[in-house]
Amino acid sequence: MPSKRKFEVSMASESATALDHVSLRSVKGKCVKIVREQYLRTDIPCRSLLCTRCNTDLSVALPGSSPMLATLSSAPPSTDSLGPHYAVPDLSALTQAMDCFESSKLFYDVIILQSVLEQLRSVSTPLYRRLKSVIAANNKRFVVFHNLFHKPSFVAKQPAETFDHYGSRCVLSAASWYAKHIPDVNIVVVSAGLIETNDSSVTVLPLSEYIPQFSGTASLLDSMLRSEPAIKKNPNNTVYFSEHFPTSKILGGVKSGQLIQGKLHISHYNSNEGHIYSSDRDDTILIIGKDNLNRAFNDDIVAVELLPQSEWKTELVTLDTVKDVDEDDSNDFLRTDSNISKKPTGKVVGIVRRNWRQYVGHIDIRSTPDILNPTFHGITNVLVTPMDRKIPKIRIRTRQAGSLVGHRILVMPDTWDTDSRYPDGHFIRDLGPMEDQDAETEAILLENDVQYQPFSQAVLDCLPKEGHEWRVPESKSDPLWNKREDLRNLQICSIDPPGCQDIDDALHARMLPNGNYECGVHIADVTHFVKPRTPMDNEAAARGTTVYLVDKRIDMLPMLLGTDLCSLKPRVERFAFSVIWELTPDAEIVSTRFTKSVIKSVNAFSYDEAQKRIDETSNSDELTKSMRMLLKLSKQLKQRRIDAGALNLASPEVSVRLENEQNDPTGVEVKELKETNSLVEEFMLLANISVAKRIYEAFPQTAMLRRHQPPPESRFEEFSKELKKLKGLKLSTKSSKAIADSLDKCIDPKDPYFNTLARIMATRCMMSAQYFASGQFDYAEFRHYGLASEIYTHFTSPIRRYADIIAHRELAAAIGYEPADSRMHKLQEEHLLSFMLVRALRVTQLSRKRG
Amino acid sequence: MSRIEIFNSEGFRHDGRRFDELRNFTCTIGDHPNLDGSSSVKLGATKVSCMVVGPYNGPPRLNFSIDVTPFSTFERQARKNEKRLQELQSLLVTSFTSACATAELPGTIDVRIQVLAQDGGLVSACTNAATLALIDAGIPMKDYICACSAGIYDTTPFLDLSNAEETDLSFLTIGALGNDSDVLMLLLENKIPADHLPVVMDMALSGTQLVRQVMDDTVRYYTQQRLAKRKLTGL
Ligand SMILES: [Zn+2]
Repeated sequence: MPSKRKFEVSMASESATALDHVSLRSVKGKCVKIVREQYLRTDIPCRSLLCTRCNTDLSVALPGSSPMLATLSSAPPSTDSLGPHYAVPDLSALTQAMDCFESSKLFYDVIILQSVLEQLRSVSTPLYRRLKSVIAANNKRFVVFHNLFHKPSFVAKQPAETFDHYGSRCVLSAASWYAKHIPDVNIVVVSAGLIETNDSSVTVLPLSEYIPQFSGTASLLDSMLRSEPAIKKNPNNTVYFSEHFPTSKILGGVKSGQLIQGKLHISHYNSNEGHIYSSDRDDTILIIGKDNLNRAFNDDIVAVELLPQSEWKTELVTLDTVKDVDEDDSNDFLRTDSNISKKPTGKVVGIVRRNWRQYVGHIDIRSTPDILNPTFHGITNVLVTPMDRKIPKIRIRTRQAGSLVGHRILVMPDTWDTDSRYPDGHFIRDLGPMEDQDAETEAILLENDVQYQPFSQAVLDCLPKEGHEWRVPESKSDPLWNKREDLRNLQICSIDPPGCQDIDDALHARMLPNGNYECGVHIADVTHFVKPRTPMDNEAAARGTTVYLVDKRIDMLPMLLGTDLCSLKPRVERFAFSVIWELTPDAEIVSTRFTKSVIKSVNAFSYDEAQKRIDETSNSDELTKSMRMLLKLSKQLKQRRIDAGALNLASPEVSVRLENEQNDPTGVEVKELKETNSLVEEFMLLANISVAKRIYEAFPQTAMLRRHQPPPESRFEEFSKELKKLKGLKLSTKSSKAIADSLDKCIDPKDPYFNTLARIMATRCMMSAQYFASGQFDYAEFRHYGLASEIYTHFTSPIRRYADIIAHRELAAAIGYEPADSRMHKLQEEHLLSFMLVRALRVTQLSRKRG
Repeated sequence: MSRIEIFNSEGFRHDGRRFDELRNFTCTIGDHPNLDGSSSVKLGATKVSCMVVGPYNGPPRLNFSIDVTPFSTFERQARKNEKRLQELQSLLVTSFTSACATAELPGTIDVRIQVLAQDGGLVSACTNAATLALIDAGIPMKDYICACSAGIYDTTPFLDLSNAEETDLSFLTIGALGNDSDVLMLLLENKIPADHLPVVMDMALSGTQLVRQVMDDTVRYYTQQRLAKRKLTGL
């Protein structure tokens, strides 16, 4: 098996010294000593073009891969006071002014230290991602210097040294090394915090003094302003909140059970109320009032102390049903609505981890009316009301308050002291006037953490270099034709909403000599272009899905792929991943096969066009005939699904009419569903189910599947009660079939929309479906309740959903088209991914709702 | 996002190594002069010591036992580890029996391995320690059995995985006999795609050659010391 190829391996100690890292960690309540080694090297290049000493020709991976090239320019940016210099930002500079680092106005030739990068990663994933993409884009000459692996500049962490203090020592040590190593340029440490050095070769400069040295940076400057401690907002020294416990006390308290740790969820209805869930008590603990919330934000991990039982409260939602209940009922173990159950209440005594992010909001004019005075200039404190009503007002300092009034602005909280009513934060960016469509769209995207920046150069570099000229190779001996079936002669067509540009799927059907039908679903072969763990793949995984807003689409993949090279456009040869069945005239599956293919779609129809073509009896061409076959089979498939208890719960598709691209929406209409809608839907479901079975067979542990749990009885209770009361209708919830049947009977002859409404309500009672890896559950638990299928996955929309890309790779591996991804066994990663996908889908729903 | 970055874009592994670097590998022989053979091996932060008693009169047989000192590891998956150790013991018995130079073993030999600290590469450390201790005990062997692990990250083969890397990557351990790269034992810990297998095996085999070099130097050094001592005492 081995090819006897020799690697020039070496022992790390030849170019590095080992250092033992001893850490104590608690694993399941036991204290465990963990020793791991770290190597301190002497061969890490400085990556400056001015340097002749460093060997930059170290291959970083397999021979032939890109070496670490010298990147830092020999003529770096220069200012009057600093001269030509390389900038070395510390953590505080990056967290406060990421916009400046992304700006084209300043920050070229920047040394990002590994220690700073790791700290940033631990404090903020979004900022870390943004910095990584600046580094990857490579147009601003950012280099990563691995100071933690670098013997000359490494400093060890002292016992009991704080995170920040250690961080600045690392920065200074590396900066001093650079200053000595490259004497021709100055090394400038840029910081927003307090950092001092006694090394005269290194300049340390606060961000607020560094930025103004470059022209066109006035608007960036505001992001540096904070309410400084010197400016006392509160002269009487009033204390509004009680101090948080010290960390050691919190940890001890949580461990001994005196304190409860959990994630704070602020109520949708009242920002002065929240709760945490304690898994130990299997109960929620209410936290009511500003004092008890004690400066905690929504999503923070907090430590809570229980209040005495006399202060326990009933939940607000149950208050109105409380009156007519006997006292004895409270002994009942079953908690029903008509039960007084006092909930424990608590007070936040410490914040284990802040989950602060950037918030979109607007300036509250009432807080500082004088900023409207046109003669007003200078720096002032203003309050910002966040869009997210769960977040308290944030105080910022700005010198452009007048021009920011009435705008959507982005702010970030920094601290919240006991002597301040409001958290203190800083201004980051102006999104534009409120009500302006661009500003509001960006606000929604930011608030929901949707990646909407244009694709970075690193991502675009992954695209085929032929661009729109990319063609399926003519010669079948081309390696791209390997293991690909030629299906170009089939009568394939696609049916989508009108104006659809990203065509994921196409279909065909034909009669076989034995009287059976051959049907095929052909899905865009996205994974041919998106290879695992390339920058493009990472970006698509981070985006998770394409987000559709009213007037905007935020693509998961670059346009070139989504609307051209992958899109199964008519009359163009395209790569596809095909699922082909032999079906009996009764639509029973005889056989299923999967293959990568080349197809040439004959036509792309809208639902209406397809319907018309099928209905027009005079049409007797091959394509129409095959569409009729598909329609007939799809009706049988649908009937069988409904008989098995599939629910037709999907809320009707709503489309928003736009007068034209620029205008505001003029109306909302509910789309009428044609038979051809369900034609496509049925075959997509069939394809997804077939693929799910196949990948589960090949990867019993790691197949990426999707399941949907039955709704818990309790959720339906209230809904069916209301139905009974209002309309005298009965809803049976015994099985999905029973729900489906009784929903069909929910008809009010006077109100045609009543049935639709009932279905929407029923959907709200459902659990949401989830992605999972097959190893996580028993087969019996794979079931997709809503679709009444034993097993299900997502395969048919790889252009706009990342889950489908995973399914494509797994299927390709299962049929032996390409080797399995070497890390596919990494369940953990998929867990995480599942979480992300779910989140992204939720965002889509949300933005649709709000947009 | 996982806790550590396994391989960063500048080509460093999480502990500062390049993809093709072995951790510090050091060994000693004859730590316990009272025993027939003994050795200790350090591979990075992984520490193993080995003691050999025998050959003594009895059926020609190799007995391996592996003790993991409780403080050397996380307590997780105790039962799974138990099974893994049994598997490893029987693998070592087969490998070393076949590496013995004589047709039959000279008697019963007990090999006891003690794992003092674990940070990945357990199988290689145990194998290498056993080789050295058996040589110290004077058991005739065809050549050194040298073991080394390798894994794959994306398409890059990694030499000698640490504990953190073992939990994240697919990897294997190879035991080679001598310097002609004959694979004597191969332990695959999880799935490696067939396409990548050759390159991972090549990487591990290259590693075994480096290991062999260190072991050979060590054996020669200690033998010379012992010879010098004998001359001194006039034996
Ligand atoms: Zn240099």
